[in-house]
Amino acid sequence: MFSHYLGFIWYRSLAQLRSESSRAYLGYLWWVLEPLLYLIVFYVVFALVLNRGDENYVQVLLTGLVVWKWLDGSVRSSMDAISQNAGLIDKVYIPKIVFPSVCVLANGIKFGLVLSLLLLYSLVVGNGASITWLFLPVLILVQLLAVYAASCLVAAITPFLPDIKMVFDKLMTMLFFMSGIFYTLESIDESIRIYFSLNPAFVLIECYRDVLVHHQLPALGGMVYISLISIIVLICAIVILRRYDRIYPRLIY
Amino acid sequence: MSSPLIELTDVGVCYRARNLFKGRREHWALNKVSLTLNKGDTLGVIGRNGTGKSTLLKVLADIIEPDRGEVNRQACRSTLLSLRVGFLNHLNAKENVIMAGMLLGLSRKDIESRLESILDFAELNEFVNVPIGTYSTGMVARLGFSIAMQIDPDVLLIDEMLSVGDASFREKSAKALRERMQSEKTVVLVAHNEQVIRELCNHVVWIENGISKAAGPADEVLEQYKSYLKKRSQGN
Repeated sequence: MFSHYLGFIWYRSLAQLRSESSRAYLGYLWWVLEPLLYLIVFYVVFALVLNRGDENYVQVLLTGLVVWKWLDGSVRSSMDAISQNAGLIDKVYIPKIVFPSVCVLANGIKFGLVLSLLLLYSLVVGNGASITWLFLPVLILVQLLAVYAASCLVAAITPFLPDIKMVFDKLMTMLFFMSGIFYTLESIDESIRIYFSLNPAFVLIECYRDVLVHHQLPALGGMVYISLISIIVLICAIVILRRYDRIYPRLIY
Repeated sequence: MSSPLIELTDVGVCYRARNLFKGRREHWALNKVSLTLNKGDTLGVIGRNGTGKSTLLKVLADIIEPDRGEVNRQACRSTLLSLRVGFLNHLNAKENVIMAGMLLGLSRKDIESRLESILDFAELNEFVNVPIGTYSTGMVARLGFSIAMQIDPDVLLIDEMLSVGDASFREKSAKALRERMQSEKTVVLVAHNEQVIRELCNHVVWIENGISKAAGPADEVLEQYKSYLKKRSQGN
């Protein structure tokens, strides 16, 4: 049964991506164009207008943005994941965890694509490849865990309290500014650095930069920290999703 | 007699809505329903509109969990026959069939091997590569019906006699459904048409305002229901 739903998640994610792209004239091209435009907007604002002339700043910025997008996209679509499938869960039983899983996977596939572009950029324009890139799979796994945990949690809660969507929405905006996407730890006043290093998203982005830009080993403690928090959150989310598995269809009508 | 497949005892389901300005509203869609479903039964559910028949089917299908009462079910797969299971409008018939089939518990291989016969039955072969958002309502329903006919659950739950598509397809689908019901299947059928119930069901449950008023052999319960309706209309 487990592998059956896994197969469904995979098929549904691809179907959703196909469905999205078939709506537009440029179709699949948008998978690359959309993130490209997203990156260009921030590049113009932060690298051209506000640039302080830091070394590798463009690469630092792009890394932050690419890593952020997976989390942001998954969490935002997971908020509506269950209610958007109201017509489905009303007619057939399906474990509700399937829906945030689809969001995470669909956004993950896009992330994979954009990450390859980022690697290409680092190779050609940036400061090249390094043996530390071998750490990428580990980082991706840690990020998958974190993104999955956050997505499942919002998916589990919003059907009970639709109002909280507004709060989550603003929290994500705040997290965007607090996660060091367009700045680094060094640029923060030393007295408050500790608070930033408690933010898992901040830590994760720094880890990616260590590997991709600075060609260093990522902070091992940071990765353990992110994983631990993610596992705890994920367990809570799964408990809620399972307990109310057959209540969700009644909340949405 | 062997133990029943599904047994409901005093089941109640409440829909709640909360709003700061409008307060708390409660609606008991099902109040106190008891019924027994044995293997091989064809159980009819009758009652007026809005008495909770569809909610009852959702409980039987294990889609929702009741607020009170007891549900005893043997390990069995009960599936609600429905015409539209998670279709995505921008995808074509093939992709939607695979997705719906997987949702209904078929493996991807299984459903792919049956794809052709599904499209044949739905008479949609020519439109297989067209996004189903461009289909007419009847075409979508035909596709949904053909997929639904592929599944083989232990208990089949049917909401209303599904009359789908144009006259000739309606005949074809009704025939297929009848064949399913008359074979050894366990079926729960919700219908307004007394004739249909009398013809197809051996047991009947009558639900009124979320309460199961009577249950038993089809003829007896239908008589009670009829005399109740008569009294009601005279009373008005």
